[in-house]
Amino acid sequence: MRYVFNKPTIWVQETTILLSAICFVISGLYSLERREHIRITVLVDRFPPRLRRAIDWFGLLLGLIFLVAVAWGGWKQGWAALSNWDSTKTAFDSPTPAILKPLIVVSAALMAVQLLVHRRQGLHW
Amino acid sequence: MDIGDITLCMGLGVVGLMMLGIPLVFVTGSVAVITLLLTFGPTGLPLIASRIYATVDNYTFASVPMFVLMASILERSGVAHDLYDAMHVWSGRLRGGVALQTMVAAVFMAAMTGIVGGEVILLGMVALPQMLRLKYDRKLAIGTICAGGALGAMIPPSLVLIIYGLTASVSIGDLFLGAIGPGLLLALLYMAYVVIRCRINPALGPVASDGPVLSFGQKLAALKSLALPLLVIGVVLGSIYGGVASVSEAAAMGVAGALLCAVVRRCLTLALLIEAGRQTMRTCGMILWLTFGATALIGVYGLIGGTHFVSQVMQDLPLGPIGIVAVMMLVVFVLGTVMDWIGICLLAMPIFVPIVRDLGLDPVWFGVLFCVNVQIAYLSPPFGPAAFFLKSVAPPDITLQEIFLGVLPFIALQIVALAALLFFPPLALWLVG
Repeated sequence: MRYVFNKPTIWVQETTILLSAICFVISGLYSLERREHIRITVLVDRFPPRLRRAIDWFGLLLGLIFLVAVAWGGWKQGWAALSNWDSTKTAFDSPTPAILKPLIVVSAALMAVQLLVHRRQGLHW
Repeated sequence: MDIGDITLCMGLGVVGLMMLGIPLVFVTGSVAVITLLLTFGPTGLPLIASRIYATVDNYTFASVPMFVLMASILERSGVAHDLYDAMHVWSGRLRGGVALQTMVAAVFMAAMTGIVGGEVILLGMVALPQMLRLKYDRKLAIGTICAGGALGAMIPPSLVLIIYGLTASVSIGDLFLGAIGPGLLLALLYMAYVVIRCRINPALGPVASDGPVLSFGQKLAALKSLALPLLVIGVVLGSIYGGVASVSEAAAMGVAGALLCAVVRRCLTLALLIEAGRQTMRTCGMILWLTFGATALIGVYGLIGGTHFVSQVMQDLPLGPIGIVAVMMLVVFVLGTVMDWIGICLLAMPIFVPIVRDLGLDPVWFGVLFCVNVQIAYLSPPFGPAAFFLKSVAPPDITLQEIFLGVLPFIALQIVALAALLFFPPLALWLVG
């Protein structure tokens, strides 16, 4: 576009950012559901089952601490961005903050729920 | 508690929890949250969500899913398989020829995809059975595959360089230019090693005596299957090096090229697209959320003055600039034996790179050094991902111990390359600006 028409497009860059950012935020939930987040299992696999269960509970607690902190801390900004329909204030003026900030909160909250669901199903990470 | 104690607690906390097999996102994230709560109280919490927003709101990051998508489409379209076969025709009747062929194919695959896991698994399925059938020395075969696969982290477009560029705010185009020379140098070192070993002891790499003898014309015809992958590589790297497109745009062109490849090979189906899309989503979820946890941790650590503290400690070392960089490389090396490269990159680089800048050294050169070190991390026990990837597709009688023994000489070669780069920066920088 830039070279053929000698006129850069105004929508490509921001739309790309918005779309890929949405994908980034949501994909965490998908990886979590499939239990594919990076972890080191070399040692843990040799632990007795009782100890592993204890570690699972501990890990659940840590996961909840992080996710709840993200959701809790992001809540206010997210709500403000959504209710004012914040935009990027550029030529294209896309509503990136209004969509992304609440999405981060929602994804973190959903991931916390997903952790609890896994726990209930008795699954390891 | 002063900052030194806090640093120690956080470091031990992260490493200890990681060893318990808790996902890295939650380890880094929760340590960040707990530190934040203990130092600033609940008022600091919005910081974490803001940092996540700042991370995803970035045009260059969009290149990550594009490159992953490109790799998964190419992988599924069977291009790499053909590539390997094409190399076979040309490896001829050299001693250790199949190992050399594997290495050359690995370099091409690295330039196409740059996903180490996929590469090692593919070579493990295609090249390992062939070398075992020809009675190659098992350790040599294993080492060749793991080291060749790890080149995916080095030869552009590599995710390692992109993530490094993002965390260190260094031009990714420059990094790509800087890494290509040392990447090829590593490959040449490996090949020289194979040739020399086979010359000393021909039993290590027997000549492939079976198979038809091909005429020159037939050999040339076999090269045709190279055309498409080369086109994709040319489009991606050419547009970055030529300054025509940004990294994200080049990555998008790479996806287009990969789709074209799939169309030409008549395997572009909806199922392939859905599978490749899913793969991309999973990889992104893994990388991005790990990034979120790590940026939270680094952000908090910077706020309490940790970054400044480490830089002070480093600069007080009774060493010259090169000595300090060597110490940093040692730290990365040690971390690399237990930790994934992305964790090291996200946690250590935001602290190290400003120091490197203060010392008046080139962060591009440092990035290339880091990248060579990542190769070592991929191979080094006890947590060498390349070894695990290979184990997952190797015949059951190949043990993890044997794999680690097989990669040892290659680790030595990598250390040689690392030292050469450390003391002779132009090796990496002769192409850059």
